[in-house]
Amino acid sequence: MIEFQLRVDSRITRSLTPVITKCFSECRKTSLPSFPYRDESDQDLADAWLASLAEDYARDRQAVARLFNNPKFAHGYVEVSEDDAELVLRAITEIRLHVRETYLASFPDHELETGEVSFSTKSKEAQPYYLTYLVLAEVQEGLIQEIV
Amino acid sequence: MIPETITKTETKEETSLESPWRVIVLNDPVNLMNYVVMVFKRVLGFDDSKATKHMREVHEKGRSVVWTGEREKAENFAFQLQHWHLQTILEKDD
Repeated sequence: MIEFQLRVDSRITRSLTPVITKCFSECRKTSLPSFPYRDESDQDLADAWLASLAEDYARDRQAVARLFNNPKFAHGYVEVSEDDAELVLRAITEIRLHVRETYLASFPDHELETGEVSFSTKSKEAQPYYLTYLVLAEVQEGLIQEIV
Repeated sequence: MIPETITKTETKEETSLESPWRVIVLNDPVNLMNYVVMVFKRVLGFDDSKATKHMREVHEKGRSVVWTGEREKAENFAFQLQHWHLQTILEKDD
């Protein structure tokens, strides 16, 4: 079992847990990536490819649901089985991509990459989503440290 | 004339089948650098320095050709990279 405490005040994780679970549930409606052939006209291959990806994404989401449903997570404690670690990493990436595209669209790339965010130019509503984005990155950092 | 035409056609098809494909990873502002390095190591079998070099190339140039070779293997790598949510495309290496 992989276990670690996030370096975030547990009051923050408690307040963000509903936002995180909301974003997670929205991910199920997220569109799949583009078929990797830009000029490929084989629709059957494209359909099979995207259907397989959808299945794999669904399996990853089940693993991250086990993490979020664990009452310890709201207190900033991450507990993931070693078998689930890679699945959780991928599913969190999916959630972060969704948060970035849906709620942080007004944030320039360089602000997100450097962490130097100018909140004076952002809506107040975006703040919990930005914190969600950061907390999920922290979960990923912790998991990567444990499994590499 | 007819046999010659057939020969030319066969040669063209063979060449087309054997053309290598490039697996290209595109930049995105979301994925952590150490996440991308880890994915390159796991999926493509890179060592740490090669994975880091390609991660930097993606970050600085917007794309990196991470593998070139036969189509079936290229598809397999592209699928796995997309499973890890890296923006990946396949292009013929003309």
